[in-house]
Amino acid sequence: MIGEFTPRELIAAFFMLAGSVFFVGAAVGMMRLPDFYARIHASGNAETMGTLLAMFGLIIYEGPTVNAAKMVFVFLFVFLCNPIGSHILSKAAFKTGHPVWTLNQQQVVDENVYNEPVHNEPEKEVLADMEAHELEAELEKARAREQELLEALKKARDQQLENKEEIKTEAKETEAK
Amino acid sequence: MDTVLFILFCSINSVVGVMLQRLFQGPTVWDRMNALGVIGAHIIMAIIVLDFMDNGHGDMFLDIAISYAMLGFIGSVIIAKFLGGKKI
Repeated sequence: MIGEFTPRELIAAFFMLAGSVFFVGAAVGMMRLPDFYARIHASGNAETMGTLLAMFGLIIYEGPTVNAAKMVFVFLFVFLCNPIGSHILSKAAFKTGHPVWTLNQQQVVDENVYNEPVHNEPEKEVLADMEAHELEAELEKARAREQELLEALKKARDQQLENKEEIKTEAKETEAK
Repeated sequence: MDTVLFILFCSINSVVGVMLQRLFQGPTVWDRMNALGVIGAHIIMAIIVLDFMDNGHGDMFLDIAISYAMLGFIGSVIIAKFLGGKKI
């Protein structure tokens, strides 16, 4: 089977197969990774590397022609612009507050780079609203407790009155005897 | 050589299939944008490989690939800036 290939075709086939390995790696990473940032990392890196390798193999296979020159242009354009596109997309996601997946669910804030750690922090009005809601809930709980205590007090007084009446009736009975 | 080109074409299309799944069920808009950009970049490769599989070596395919690369990149950057608002 290898005898069918000329040496140039062998080198080209090697580069194309390496590129297809990177493409399949991009597909697997896209299926398995948990987060947008991890997925864009997998797709962006493996896509750029696979495109470079496969394009290099195709250029070698084509030989020195005008079409190869055009393919070099596509090669350079993809090499420059694919990482820039991925970077702009992930930067936009990070700056608009898309949460970063971590093992401990902790927030990731990169203050050294961006100087505005704004994402996922509730604003002051929201905080005041939350505090007001908590206080209202506490007030309702206290009212319910007050009601319970008043009912208990009423019951205790009723019991006291009944006891007094029983004592009086007992005293009357003893006097009668 | 046709076998190698066919393997390359199949691997490119496997990525496009996975990206289509991510494009339709992606949880956030960023996943969908990423899938669109990656599909564009892989279709450039698919066009060039189709040029070689065709045996005709039409120059048209390569010109289409160049213009497709430029349009895909510019579109993805513009939509990312639109989604990012003033911050990006």
